[in-house]
Amino acid sequence: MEEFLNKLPTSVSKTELLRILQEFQDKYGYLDNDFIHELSKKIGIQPGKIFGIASFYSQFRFKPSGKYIVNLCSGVACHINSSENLINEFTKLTGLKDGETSTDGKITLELVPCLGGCANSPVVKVNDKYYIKVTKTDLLKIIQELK
Amino acid sequence: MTLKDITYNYLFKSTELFEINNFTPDLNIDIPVVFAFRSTCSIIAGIDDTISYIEKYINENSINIKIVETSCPGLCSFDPVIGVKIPGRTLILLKNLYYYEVFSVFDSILNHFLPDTKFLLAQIYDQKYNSWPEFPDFFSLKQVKIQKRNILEPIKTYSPISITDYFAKNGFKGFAKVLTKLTPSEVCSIIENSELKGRGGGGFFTGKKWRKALENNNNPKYFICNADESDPGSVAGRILIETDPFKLIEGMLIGAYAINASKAIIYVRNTYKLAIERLKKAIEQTKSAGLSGDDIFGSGINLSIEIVTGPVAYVCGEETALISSLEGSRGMPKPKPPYPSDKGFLEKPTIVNNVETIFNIPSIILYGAESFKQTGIKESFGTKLFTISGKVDYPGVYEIELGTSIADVLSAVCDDESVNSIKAVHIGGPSGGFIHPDKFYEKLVFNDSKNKSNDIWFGAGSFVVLNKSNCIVDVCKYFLDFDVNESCGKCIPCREGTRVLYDILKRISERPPTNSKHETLQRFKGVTQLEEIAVVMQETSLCGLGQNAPITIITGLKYFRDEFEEHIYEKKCDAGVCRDLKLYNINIDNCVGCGLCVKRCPADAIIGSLHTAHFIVQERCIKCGNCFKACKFNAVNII
Repeated sequence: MEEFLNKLPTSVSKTELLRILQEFQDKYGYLDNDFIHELSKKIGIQPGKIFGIASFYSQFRFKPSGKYIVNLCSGVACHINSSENLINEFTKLTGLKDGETSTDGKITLELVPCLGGCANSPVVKVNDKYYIKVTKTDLLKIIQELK
Repeated sequence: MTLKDITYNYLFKSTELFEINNFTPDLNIDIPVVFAFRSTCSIIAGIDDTISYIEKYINENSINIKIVETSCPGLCSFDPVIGVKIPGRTLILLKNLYYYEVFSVFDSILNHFLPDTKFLLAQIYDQKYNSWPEFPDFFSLKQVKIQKRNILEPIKTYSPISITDYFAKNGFKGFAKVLTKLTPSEVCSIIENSELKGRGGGGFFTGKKWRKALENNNNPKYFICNADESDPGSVAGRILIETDPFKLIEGMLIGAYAINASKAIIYVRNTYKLAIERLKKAIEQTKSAGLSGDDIFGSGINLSIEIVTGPVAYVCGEETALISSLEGSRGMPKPKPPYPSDKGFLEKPTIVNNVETIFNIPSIILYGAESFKQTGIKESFGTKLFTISGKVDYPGVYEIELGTSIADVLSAVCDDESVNSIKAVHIGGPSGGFIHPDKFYEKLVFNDSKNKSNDIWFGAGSFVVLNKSNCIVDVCKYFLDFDVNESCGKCIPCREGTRVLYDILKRISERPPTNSKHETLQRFKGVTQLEEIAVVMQETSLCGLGQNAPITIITGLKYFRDEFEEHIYEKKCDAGVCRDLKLYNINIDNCVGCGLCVKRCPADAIIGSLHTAHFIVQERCIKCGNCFKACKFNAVNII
């Protein structure tokens, strides 16, 4: 983390803030509490302000994510093809709700408003792998594969 | 010759426009060519596996085949689409070609046999080559015929990330014309004359906006492309960028020139990985071709293009919110005026245009405003991209000429049987509304705020088709839930209004605890409140999100009032979507008492002894539907 902070230029304008946060998250997976405090000292924006800005956007995480990030699409096309049933089923099978990570650190559930595969809805994405036209039985298989 | 020299010779030495037939791949070479129509939707459908199997096939059989990666034709139900052109024959398009079918299909094609019909989409006729027998032409498909592809090519048979390929389609000729022949004010005039309206939902005249920014002398100015497409069910912007990143860049360069801006910024949604990847490559090539940077080809004009990836917030699609986000703050909208064209990014004059709007610019400049006005109808010229999804047979991204009726579109994207079962169309995502089948004759045109004659609000162009298995109340609830989550919380009508509306809808889609008349009255009162709150929100919200959020409810109540009333009075959901309103019971005449449902019931809600009729205890029933599925004698009914 120190390495990352050292690489930043000495004066950072506020327009760069989101980019820095994105870069950090890409590298370390989430925005660490200590990092935000250190960054705050470096760029002169209060930590509360940085939290406030970052928490506005759904991209940023403040907790480490699991090994597998499961994205269930809750876009409109998936919704009318019963994605809500899938979401409920997922919660039933794993006990996870939107944004939660399983205790063994393996699975994180994140609902996304649209993955863009509307023709093949409902769509489920696990890390970079897509599953299309997912049924409840498929979902069970996907979860078993992850465990 | 360096790329810069090639560019210079092509743009400024040769004045004639290329006569190119965009539809015919000019590939008169003697080895087979495979076209991989790869974009995010086909990646989701599994085209990457298909490509790697094609490579495997080529290696195993050691044949010489060229693979060209290009972008998808927008017909998502046929994904993954692969084109094969063998020497001397016309290009054929294969649909739904999954990896496990690659070997057999390629075996037959390379031996001049057509594969199984389930893979055959169409061929692209060309007199130069032998056509395949009994096989339709791509341009005779009804899904293609309905479209008027002006800003997207019908089918792209070259790489989206090669600047020289873009040159071959008259690329950057518009920008060259601007640089050599037109002043910024003349560029604004051409766009004003074309009456181009913003495609992002606002429908404001693009030329007028540019003129305002041009006349403001507060430098530096900024030209921003809004590629933060976040409407659920709309992917048009993404398809555009993935298919033709250079066209976006050219449009932005022209726009930046027209307002005397020296910096152009593309604000693209962070989740659009492939679009960002292709844009970055395109920007790099534009730079090395000398078309961006300092003193472009000695004209004294400095223009730089930069990508900013947005960290995902729906409200950032609103221009003032987008600017806040670019400035490194929470992406919250600001009251207008001042408009961004006066005071925008860093308090400087800024133009924010949607991707699709910018895509229209190069050809307007190159061929003139009048040629643009030849498509579409009065007050709504040109075309509009719609992302069609839902209960249709051929979902995808369709470029439709404005003025086409909804019925025509539907008959092209559905088979005949499914057209009749359509209950409604929802256009415009969270900021749009329902269209009733009685209104399907209506033409797709921009809805003037003065003349609210129809209920068509394009929004970002999502077009969701609903049939009998969808519940209107549920769809309203879905969009409001989305609005509740995405409302930035700055203004009260939107923050509180969406929540209250959602709660009311939630209440009527749930079974009341008691059956008293008082409950029904309360539920009914909720609906009258819906209308009141909706009007207040429309009038008092700060930005488009809040103002347009209630349109879904207003149009829903207007056309499908009976469905709302059914939920309230009869506590029934005909579509069977509102789970809580479902009641399961057992028909004692059919029940043989096999006990299968008892075993499947997770809530122990079914009682009865073997070989006698069973009974469901409603208080315990959790409406999972397991008993309904388990029963082999049709004894379990849903009411």
